[in-house]
Amino acid sequence: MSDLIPPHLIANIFSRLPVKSLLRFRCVSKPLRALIDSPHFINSHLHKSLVSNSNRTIITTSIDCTSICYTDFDFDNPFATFVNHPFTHCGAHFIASCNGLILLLTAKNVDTCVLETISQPDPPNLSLVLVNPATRKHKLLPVSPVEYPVYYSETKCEFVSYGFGYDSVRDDYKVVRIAQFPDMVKNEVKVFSLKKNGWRRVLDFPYRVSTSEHGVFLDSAVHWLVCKRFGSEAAVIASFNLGTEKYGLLPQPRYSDMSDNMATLGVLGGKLCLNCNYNMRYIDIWVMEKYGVKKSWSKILSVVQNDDLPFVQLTAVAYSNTGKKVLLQQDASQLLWYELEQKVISKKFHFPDFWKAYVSLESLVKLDYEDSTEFPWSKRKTKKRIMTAVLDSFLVVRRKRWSTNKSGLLR
Amino acid sequence: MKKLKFIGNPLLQSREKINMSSDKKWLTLKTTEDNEEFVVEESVAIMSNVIKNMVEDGCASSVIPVPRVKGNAMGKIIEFCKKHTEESDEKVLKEFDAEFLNLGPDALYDLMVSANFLEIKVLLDSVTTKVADMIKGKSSEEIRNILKIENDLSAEEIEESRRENCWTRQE
Repeated sequence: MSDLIPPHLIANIFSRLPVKSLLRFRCVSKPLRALIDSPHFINSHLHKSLVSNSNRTIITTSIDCTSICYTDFDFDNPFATFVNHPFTHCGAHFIASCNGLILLLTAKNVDTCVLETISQPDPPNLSLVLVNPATRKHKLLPVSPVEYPVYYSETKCEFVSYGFGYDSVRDDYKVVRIAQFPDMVKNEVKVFSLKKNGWRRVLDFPYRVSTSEHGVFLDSAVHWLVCKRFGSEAAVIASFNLGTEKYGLLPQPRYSDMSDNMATLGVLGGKLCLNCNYNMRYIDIWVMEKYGVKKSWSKILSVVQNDDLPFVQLTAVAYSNTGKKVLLQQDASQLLWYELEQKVISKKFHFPDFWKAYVSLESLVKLDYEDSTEFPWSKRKTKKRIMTAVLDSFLVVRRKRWSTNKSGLLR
Repeated sequence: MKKLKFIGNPLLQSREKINMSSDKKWLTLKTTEDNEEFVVEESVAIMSNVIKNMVEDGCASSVIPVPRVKGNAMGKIIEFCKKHTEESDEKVLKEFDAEFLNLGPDALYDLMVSANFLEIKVLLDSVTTKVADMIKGKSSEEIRNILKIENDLSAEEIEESRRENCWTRQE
């Protein structure tokens, strides 16, 4: 490979490079291209990113589902890259991300481009798309119809909830779909395997999903907020292990205030987190320090409604690299850094057309296995947006649209 | 009595002298390429897995021959290991590493290959991260020159790669 440095040291150095550099270096030489494309190197690069919290990105989705952008986690670069996947004309709902892959659900039928509202009980014509925004590869998942219970022929499903994660035992990415039916009818669950490129029905979901929020992936399992049985108010957290395909239950924290608590589940710093909104009076954010242990739920911050920070909803997105700050999403307007020790807000970022933000990372993870197909994106102009950053000193950078110039280089 | 040159705190100097004769173990590392000898504390030397294994297996005599590592590199390595053994504050170590790795490419290369041979993970991680930072913004051609890699791709293959990844700024 190199006449200067032995191959294993080249691999060591290259596994610390950002994805953009690695994609560029694929055209240095054949051995180097083979290295960068090899599954072992891709895993090693991903592992280093996960361990050192590097190559993180923030993905933002627009209100009308027409655009998904991602930006470097440090926000020093004020550019957001538009994810130019081939189904932008259909609009896409962001479902989840895992190891650099993101799962999208199209808002329109990809063939007919007819808009289907998500609130429809059974949206069979919507497609799931897996995308790697960094390598610009995508994969359209095959459609699998919801199997209605035979004896409840008139029952339609209330809603469909998805989860997406990585099965480390089988080295496989999996999508879980729960079709929730009303009353006492058990909920159909199907699992899609990227390796096998197919859906399989598994044991029905034994609980009722509390909200139509999608599942949250952590440590080989996807999690949902559920009620143990129909009519029960007591909310717990259910888990579905992607490897063993077994269900489990996890406790919620011991709340001091049980009134008007609208909780949403998330992941923060590799741990389950709950954003508890007490009817907009105040918000508590809890983190489960030790998985499965009720006593280990720890309240990391509490924000009371005030004039400096008026909110309807605050959601935790990610810890900073030092762990001393938490990135919070305030409604659908801005992201802000909250200093945990000083309990103040240190910086705010305002995005145009902003709906939700998620933390992800850049990786080289591939979407191609033996039976699947993969399409590189056709040549399109990649538009970049500048985020307007509203700092405490009220400096505002005007929004601009960029495009490629004639020579194909980005200005 | 010989007049001693005190550098720094004279009290510390005398304490050091006492420590020399205490039960701290000392090893002599000798680079076989240029026959330079280095006296180091065992606790510092065993940051290298290779030396640690030799000591644990009992095959380390008082003088340990170290092939393939040059004298300059050995000196730098010992300086690094000493600092990392003495200091536990992460912030201080980070600043030290940044200053320490402010070297030219040849010196960095020697350090990297030596750290790899002696199996000093902390040093190897620091040096490879530094090298990665130095090369991440380079073009393909610059990478070929720096790492001395032969270009065995045809013009079409290069063009195809560029088209696939044409959204990146360089090339």
